[in-house]
Amino acid sequence: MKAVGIAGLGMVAPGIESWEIGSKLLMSDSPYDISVELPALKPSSLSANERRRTTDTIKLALQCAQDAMLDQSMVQASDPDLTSVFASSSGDLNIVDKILTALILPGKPVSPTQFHNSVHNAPAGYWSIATGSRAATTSIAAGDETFSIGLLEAMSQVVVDEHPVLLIAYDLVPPPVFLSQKQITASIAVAMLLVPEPTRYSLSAGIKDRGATATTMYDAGFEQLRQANPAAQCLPLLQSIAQMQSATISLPYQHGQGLELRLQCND
Amino acid sequence: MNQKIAITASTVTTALGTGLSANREALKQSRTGLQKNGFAGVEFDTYIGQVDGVDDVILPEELADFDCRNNRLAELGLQQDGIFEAIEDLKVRYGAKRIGLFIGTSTSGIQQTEMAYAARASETGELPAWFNYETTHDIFSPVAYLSKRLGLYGPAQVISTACSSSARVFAAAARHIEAGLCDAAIVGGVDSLCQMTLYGFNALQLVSKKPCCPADVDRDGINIGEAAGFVLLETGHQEDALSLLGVGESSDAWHMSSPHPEGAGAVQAMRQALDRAGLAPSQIDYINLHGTATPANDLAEDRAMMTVFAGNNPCSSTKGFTGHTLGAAGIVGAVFSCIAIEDNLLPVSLNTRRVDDRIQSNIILDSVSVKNTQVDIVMSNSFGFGGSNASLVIGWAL
Repeated sequence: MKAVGIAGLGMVAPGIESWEIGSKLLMSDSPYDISVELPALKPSSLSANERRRTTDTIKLALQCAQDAMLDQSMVQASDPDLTSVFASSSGDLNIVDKILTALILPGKPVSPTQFHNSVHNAPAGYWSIATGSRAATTSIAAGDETFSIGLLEAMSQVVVDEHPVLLIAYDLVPPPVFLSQKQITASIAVAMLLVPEPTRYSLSAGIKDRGATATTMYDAGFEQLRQANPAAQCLPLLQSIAQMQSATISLPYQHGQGLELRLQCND
Repeated sequence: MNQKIAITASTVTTALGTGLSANREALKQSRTGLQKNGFAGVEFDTYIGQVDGVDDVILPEELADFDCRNNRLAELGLQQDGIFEAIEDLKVRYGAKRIGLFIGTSTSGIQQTEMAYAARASETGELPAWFNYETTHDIFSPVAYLSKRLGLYGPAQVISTACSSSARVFAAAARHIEAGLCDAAIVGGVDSLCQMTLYGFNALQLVSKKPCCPADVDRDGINIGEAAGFVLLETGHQEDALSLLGVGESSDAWHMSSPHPEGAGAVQAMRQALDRAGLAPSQIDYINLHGTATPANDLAEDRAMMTVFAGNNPCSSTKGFTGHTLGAAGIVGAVFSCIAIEDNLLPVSLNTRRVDDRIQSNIILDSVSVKNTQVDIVMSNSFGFGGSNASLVIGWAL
């Protein structure tokens, strides 16, 4: 598959409210502290009224999406040819918990708003409403390899249809009742605006058959974050981008294979 | 989509029956699969499109961890029409690593978690020991199951865009093939009845107490159904092969659970599918409508249909046969489109007695009027919550 350009990045994680802050932390030598709180989620792309009706998962994804679209010089969020890929391994288990709890109460009082917010593509729906764009959005899941699969989906759209694509990968910590079942122990969202033409960065991808070992993080805190959430598996890629360093990075991929990414920094 | 992709095998399992022949016979005879609601734990009046025999399906022993209603339905679907053998043959021809797997679902095996919540320990609130989230409820579960069941090692994803999920799988598969990530693909949809969707749609006042009647003046909501279906896609020009000619995808950018009143997003999806197929609206012989039978959907879709087709082309919703199968609706529409073409069969808009005056499309009300129609190219519409739209164009490759 042809290389794509990276034209914007977004990041929301514990102690990180934007790519601007995240990239500084990824460049610095000081240790990252995963135990700090997730920043307040207040995506300005949603009206106050809509924000009240949405969930933390939706807000997390949208805040990160708009962070990647801050620089409007190349692509704007409302561009009719900007499609988007929302990739999340577990969707919104907090809202699932509320609905399933209602289902064991007398009369089963499921909230209609909670129900329509429970669809896996709720963040994508709110994003299209926020941007006013009728461009296609897709919402996918691929277990622990959701980031890698989301990236390939986004890259295939850029290469085949030759238009920009916004990838947003996110997972929120599930409610306690699910924690023994789904080990997502820190919340994170990352976004990448991918374009057909080369930018300061070009990215290409290939599938490695066997013996691929995922690239890890030197910093213990960031390594903890990498392992705490399927969406955080891209941290080694984000670090190389932050450091403006050409690199070959291996991400976990399906069936014991590896996704080999080649990041080329063009200066 | 810049190349034609052949549809080399297909199967579908709905409330009409397991496999193609049960479904095509029911479509031909205008016989519904809807029945009065008797689904466990659902205590209100409605009709549902339940697949018979799902409870009796036993997954292979080594995959018993995946046992849930949704994966049983997937397994039941896989046992029809020689699709399992066709996939084995596909593996021989392309190699297991070069076959992509793209499955749409809205709720995966969430019924398992519903049962686990009902069995939570009263003191600690802990979920029961038998419960396994990742192999059942997790949105990726149907693909995790099918990958293992079929021994596939190509790119694999679940698409979950509500009721357009298993139409969009065609677009993702076509792109993956064109980008060189795989040479062939299995696309499909599996969505099963559960309390969450029945009570959720009921809370939104979108569920009908009677058999749903798309486009009818008295329509008042959907009947929820379940289904599993699979289609094999291969590259290379194949003479006389049914092919995916075009796909269109769009967003409404309007509301989470109501369609754009003029169907603006639907227009965009239908026109994109036509453009990519290189076809004029007049070349479409039949449109399988999304046609859920809610007042708002059918009206908005009709506005969109009038904008694109001006009321000329015969069309119908088949929700009166199967109910609305949600995340599987796209694959049901796609396979019904294949049946329409192969059999020159235009399904009637079942249960529609008097068309709403405001609906002006050419809705098929009786099979006699369309008996001798030649059907070569069909469009199938799927629209979902979040304003997620997809239109497919399927026909004989030229």
